[in-house]
Amino acid sequence: MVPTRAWMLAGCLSGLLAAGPAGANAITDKGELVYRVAGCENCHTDRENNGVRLAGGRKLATPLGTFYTPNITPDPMSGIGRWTEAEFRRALREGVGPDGREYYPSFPYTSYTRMSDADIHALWDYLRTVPAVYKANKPHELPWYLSFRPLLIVWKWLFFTPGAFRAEANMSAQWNRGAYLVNGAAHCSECHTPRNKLGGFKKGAFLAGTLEGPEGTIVPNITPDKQYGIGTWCKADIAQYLGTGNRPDGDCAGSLMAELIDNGLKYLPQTDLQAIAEYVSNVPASANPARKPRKKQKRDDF
Amino acid sequence: MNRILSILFLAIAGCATLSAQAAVDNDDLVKYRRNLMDANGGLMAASSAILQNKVSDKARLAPFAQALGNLNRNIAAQFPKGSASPDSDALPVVWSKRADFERLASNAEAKAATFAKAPSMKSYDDLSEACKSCHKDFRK
Repeated sequence: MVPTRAWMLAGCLSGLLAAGPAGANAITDKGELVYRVAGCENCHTDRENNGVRLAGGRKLATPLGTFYTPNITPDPMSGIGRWTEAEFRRALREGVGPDGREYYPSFPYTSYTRMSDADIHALWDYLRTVPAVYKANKPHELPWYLSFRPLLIVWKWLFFTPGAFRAEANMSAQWNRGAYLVNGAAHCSECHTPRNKLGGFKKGAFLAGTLEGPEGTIVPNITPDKQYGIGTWCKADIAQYLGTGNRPDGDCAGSLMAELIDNGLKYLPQTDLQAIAEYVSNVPASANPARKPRKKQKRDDF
Repeated sequence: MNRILSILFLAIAGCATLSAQAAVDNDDLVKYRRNLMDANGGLMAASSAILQNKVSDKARLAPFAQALGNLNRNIAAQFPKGSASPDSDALPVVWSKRADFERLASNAEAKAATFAKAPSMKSYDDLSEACKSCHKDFRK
């Protein structure tokens, strides 16, 4: 029997739990899979200072100020040990903490809001299994005018549309699966889409790269633009890169992307890597030159 | 008095020339490092294409692998103290966490030597993984 498009879309919407055949590194625990794709470990572990996994403290330097990630182990004092699942879901879906405080978008709830209930539930279950560690959270270092959190309500009104991912009925199941991952758990646009002065995404520049990425990094343009993006990569190249870090030009991933691949993306099933490739290959191309210009070499002979 | 001033002038001029020379040399070193890495990338991409049977140029695999083995010998020596530059992709931790950097560079050298001896998809993947593990913390 040939599955109908509606059936396939329903499968896609059930989130990462719908994962297909396992890749070389694929893992079977659904919660761990969501955890890895969402990149929780990357941000919530202070790897540079040999911090305990998920105990927070990683410094995230951004153009708006320096953020320190919180402890998300089940520790009742400093972590999320006293949270309920509903509070956890609200944090991801709406960017609001159990105490009603607005979260800064350095926590990518702007993408996590697209995750399915099933994936959020699986992630919650997984995080309860992590060893609880007491480590006090460090306050962010922000300019005074950004320390007033109620301002974030205005920011959200301008730049945040909450709500789970909704499949496009006129697109393929593979494309929808890729869209779900890219715009949800994998939160690609959080780094790859340039931001305006207020920290919102620039319109018409989806995944177009930026010279002002997190931690001062240059984040490349990953739209299909042939000159500035990855338009010369085929879909197999993209899937291979996400699963291994190997670029088609022989270079390999570095910095934050290498972390994301090593801790997360390489665990995705091949079908998901291909779905991301399908989706990313079909976003609008942007000629945004998000790369550092190389110094022109002097030539004596001309 | 004039003699003292002349000596001072010559000393200052000499220092200025030396420091300009050092700056030029550092620029050249950064370009050289970049060319080494570009060469590495080109050889890796070409080897990968052969290993994945995307092209049927198998005769070149061994010389490519050999070249990668040679290229990766003592690569850390190309990052001497004081050779940081805004034009370089090398992060300051290359110098502040030197022992870690040298350990990962040596690992890449060992994996490149293995690939040179017996080029295969497995030894290629090991080398690629070694490159990535160094780039993760030490390259922008």
